[in-house]
Amino acid sequence: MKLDMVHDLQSVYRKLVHAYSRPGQLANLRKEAAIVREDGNEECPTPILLIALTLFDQEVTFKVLSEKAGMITKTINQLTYAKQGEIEEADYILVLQDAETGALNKAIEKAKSGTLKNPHSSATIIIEVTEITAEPALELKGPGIKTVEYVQVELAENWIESRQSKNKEFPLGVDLMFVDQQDQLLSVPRTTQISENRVMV
Amino acid sequence: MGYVAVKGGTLAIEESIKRLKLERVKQGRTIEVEKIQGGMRGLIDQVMSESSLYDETLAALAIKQAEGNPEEAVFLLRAFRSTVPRKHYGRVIESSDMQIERRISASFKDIPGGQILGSTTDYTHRLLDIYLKEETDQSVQAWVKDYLKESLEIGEQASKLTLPKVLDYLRKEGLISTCENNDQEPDDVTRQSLAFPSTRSQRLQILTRGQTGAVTSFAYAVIRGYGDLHPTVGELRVGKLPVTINHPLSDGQDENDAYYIGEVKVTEVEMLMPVLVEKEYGKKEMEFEIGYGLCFGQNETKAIAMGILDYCLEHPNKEFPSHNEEFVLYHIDSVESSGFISHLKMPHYVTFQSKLDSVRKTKKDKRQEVKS
Amino acid sequence: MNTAYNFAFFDEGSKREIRRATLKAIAIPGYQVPFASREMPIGRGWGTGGLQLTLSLIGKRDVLKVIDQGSDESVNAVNIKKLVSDTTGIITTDYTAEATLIQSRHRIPEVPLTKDQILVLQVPLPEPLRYYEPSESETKKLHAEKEYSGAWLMLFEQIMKYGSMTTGADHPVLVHDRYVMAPSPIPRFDNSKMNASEALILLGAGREKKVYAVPPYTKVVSLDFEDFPFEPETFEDKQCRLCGSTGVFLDELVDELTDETVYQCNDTSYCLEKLNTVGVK
Repeated sequence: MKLDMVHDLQSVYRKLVHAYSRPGQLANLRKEAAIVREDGNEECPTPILLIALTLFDQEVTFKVLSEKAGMITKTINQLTYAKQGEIEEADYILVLQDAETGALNKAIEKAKSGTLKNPHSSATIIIEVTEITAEPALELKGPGIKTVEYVQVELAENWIESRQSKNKEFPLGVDLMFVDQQDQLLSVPRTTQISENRVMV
Repeated sequence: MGYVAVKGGTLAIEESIKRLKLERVKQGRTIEVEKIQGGMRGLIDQVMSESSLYDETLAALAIKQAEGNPEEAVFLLRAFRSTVPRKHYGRVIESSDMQIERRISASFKDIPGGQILGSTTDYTHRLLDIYLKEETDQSVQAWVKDYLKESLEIGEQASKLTLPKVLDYLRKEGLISTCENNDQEPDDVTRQSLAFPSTRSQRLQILTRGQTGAVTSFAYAVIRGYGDLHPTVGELRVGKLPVTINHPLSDGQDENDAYYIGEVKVTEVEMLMPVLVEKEYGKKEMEFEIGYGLCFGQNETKAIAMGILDYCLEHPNKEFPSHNEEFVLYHIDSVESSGFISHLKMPHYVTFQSKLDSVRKTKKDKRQEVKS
Repeated sequence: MNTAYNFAFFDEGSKREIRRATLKAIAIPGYQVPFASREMPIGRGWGTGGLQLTLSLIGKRDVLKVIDQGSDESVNAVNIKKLVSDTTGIITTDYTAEATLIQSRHRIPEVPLTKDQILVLQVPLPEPLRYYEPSESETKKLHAEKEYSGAWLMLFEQIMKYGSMTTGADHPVLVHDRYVMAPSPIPRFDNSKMNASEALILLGAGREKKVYAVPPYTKVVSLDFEDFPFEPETFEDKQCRLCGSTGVFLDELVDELTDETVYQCNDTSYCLEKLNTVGVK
């Protein structure tokens, strides 16, 4: 069973729209991911490949931070015609789990955050993690969230502060997407306020 | 038994569409696409240029469907263009490689290669030819046969003709300044919407896709007085240009690997504008600057107008609307301008109701004021 | 279904471009994201922006509702519905609650939207400052600098002239305390539905080539002054002559037989549902 480039990617896109509109509510890409794995994809983490197939083409640039950056870049380029760009210029930055320590913070600091006239010309950072859960480690508030949402993202680095600093002058900022080994996706657009939840039961 | 919506809308639309078809066929005759392609070159060239889609058969089909209405035909082709996947970008084309069919200059009496009049209405007398009503396929075929025989007798070569650019000659003579090649990757306005300040590539694309009448009128305003120009046609050429693409799987730009995919007929114009330039020691000199126009098909008026507007937009001037890039570039697209104007026919009763409410409120408050 | 064209009419590359722009729009509420708007088979000014949004979102299992000025049967709504279903084969509906995607010109439905729905609004002029500043490069600057005194000035001038604000539909709003936005020519009555909405609201301007968004649960406030608060249209002591509803936006009509001014629900499907549950009043 092959991935349907029209309907399966439309389905992924709708999940992205839902995730962006309601940060904190996880999207599940399991169904589409299963099809991609069946096709024999080994090189690139499947949820990241799905997002690339949905959004990338010759009009965008991307940068991969990973030990296998060379191979993953080639795979994505061949499948989407998107070209590699420098971290400061890339439209999408992919931070894989095997990237060097501090990669996410580096990506956040160097990524383009748009201009006041064109805040949309900013980067989107997609990060691969082991697991995203509903543990109340992080408290999320802001547009798309009725009152508050709680999530936990398994990540060694502390990225909250560098993201807060990068996004302090709204509308400038970077938007984040986290994907995990369960093919779940968490969207954290620049409008979301994150605080670390000190009150843990 | 529940209440159901009165489905009048669908039925009305279906009948309207049938009625439209009736208008096209009620005389009991249909025009073959081949006949349009054979005899309506002028309209086909205009429609291809405004749609920015080069295909004479599709243009002829659109013209048939639109009953000859250029606004409608361009709309059809542009919508079709939206559905066609974009696989390649063409390689750079050197217009000096053009297979010339017509080539003139108004700036010089004699030019290297000569003034080749070619096919043009410029020297015809606009006298309506009643005898065209009697023309038949046989009579035109016989005429073509005689013409070709005559050409052979005169010894006209069937070989293709390329000629040097008039402007290159002027550059060699030092009459216009040379300039560096600008090899910047052009923007594609069908892929990324126009932003201001615009780039030259964006301006040229919007001008070449512009509605012929609109582009002509703005340029007319310029040369009549709403502008800063006294241009002359440096060179106008009409002919075919080859289109090539790079090998799809290779990275290289090597010409030897490129594929020829076809040719397009274009009209290319280089306008010369004399400008006063201040040099050292306050000395004023006259120099020539260039305005460039290029269109699909033989669209001479539009290409000349485009050359004029190209120059105007390169040299913004708040005094004249044709030198204002937003004013020109936003209002010359046929599909956009006709679309927005025709949208006024759509129901606006809610917005009107809203306004009515505001108007009533002000009158009510006024009356209350008067009372107290 | 017309199989000469790709599913949902335009090619995947075009869909990708508008999809990227849409996600950016959701991340920056109220900001107009430029996109390379394609020509559609319906005219510019007739809803091509809304249509491109719908076509980029729609999938096999969606149920689509299209309304124009509140009516499912309006010629323009029927035309758009036909184009979408011809190129996708999806089901259409008049029942607001049944729809997953709703494309609308100039109204937000009376039936409250849910989190499983997306509302797409058609926008003729996305720039709320345009009447005051004709130049696009200038209005971009004003938005960049959050320089909105022009918008307030317009309202102030109305108050000075007429004693109250006199915008009809398309009364400008402030979104997430940052961008002044044109809500599209919905009546003032509908503005409040944008605040803290359950559903995502997307707005598309095809000819002007802009897409913008109001995410759910986002602060949307109609511009006004402390001493001159925002006033939606009122229909006090008026009710729909068919179903008897009050508190909804009503169309003013002249009864053909009696020459009287009468009122009727503008949202035709809402009216029908009310009639079928409550019965004729």
